[in-house]
Amino acid sequence: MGAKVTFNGSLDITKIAKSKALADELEPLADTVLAAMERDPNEAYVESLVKKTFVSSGRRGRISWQVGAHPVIGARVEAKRGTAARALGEAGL
Amino acid sequence: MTFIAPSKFPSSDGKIVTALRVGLTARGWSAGLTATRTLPATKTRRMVTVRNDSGPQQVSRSVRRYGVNLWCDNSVAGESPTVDGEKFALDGMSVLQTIADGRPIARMYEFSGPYEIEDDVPYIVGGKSLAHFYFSFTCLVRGTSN
Repeated sequence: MGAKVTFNGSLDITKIAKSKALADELEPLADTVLAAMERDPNEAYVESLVKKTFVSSGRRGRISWQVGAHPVIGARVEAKRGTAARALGEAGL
Repeated sequence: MTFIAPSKFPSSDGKIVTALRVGLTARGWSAGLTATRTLPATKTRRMVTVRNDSGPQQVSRSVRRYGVNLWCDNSVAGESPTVDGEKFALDGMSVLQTIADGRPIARMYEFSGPYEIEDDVPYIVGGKSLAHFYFSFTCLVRGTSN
């Protein structure tokens, strides 16, 4: 038993991948990850957290988000508590 | 009507800890080696801890992220503990990349590291300071019908 879905007409996947509509749906995932990481007890780590948005061009262009901390502080916190890994799990990723 | 049967997922921690202990021993790191889920009360010259950071369950697969901390002294005269520590960690990563057998671990992927971690107070065993490294990976565990 299964289902088949057919899209009629021409779809430009590039436009979909970089569309504001899709970005608005997906950006809350990055926000969820960031919010979970901000609950870490290390203040320096939390202060160094940033969320960056990237838009790439070309046929395979897309919107993506990068959430991270200062590299050295981030590695120490990750080794001790796995904050980023658990934040990704909380977001269902 | 239920299309997708609920699944139950087995533990994977024990298999990973055992694989590290056996694999690192086979690669010559047996002297003073402890591989456990938490740091031992009595520190040894080579220690490995495995932390399960868990993750989402998706139908019949459970995505689990793990963090592995490793501490190592220098075993070769003249070498720094950092050199040996990195080799120790790289061997640990290599061991784990081959343990997926389908039951219950379907896949081991997204290995990242090893990163050198500077401890606030380094562990000292046998008069030698231990180098600390960390790596992470993702493990896909297969569930069975509930």
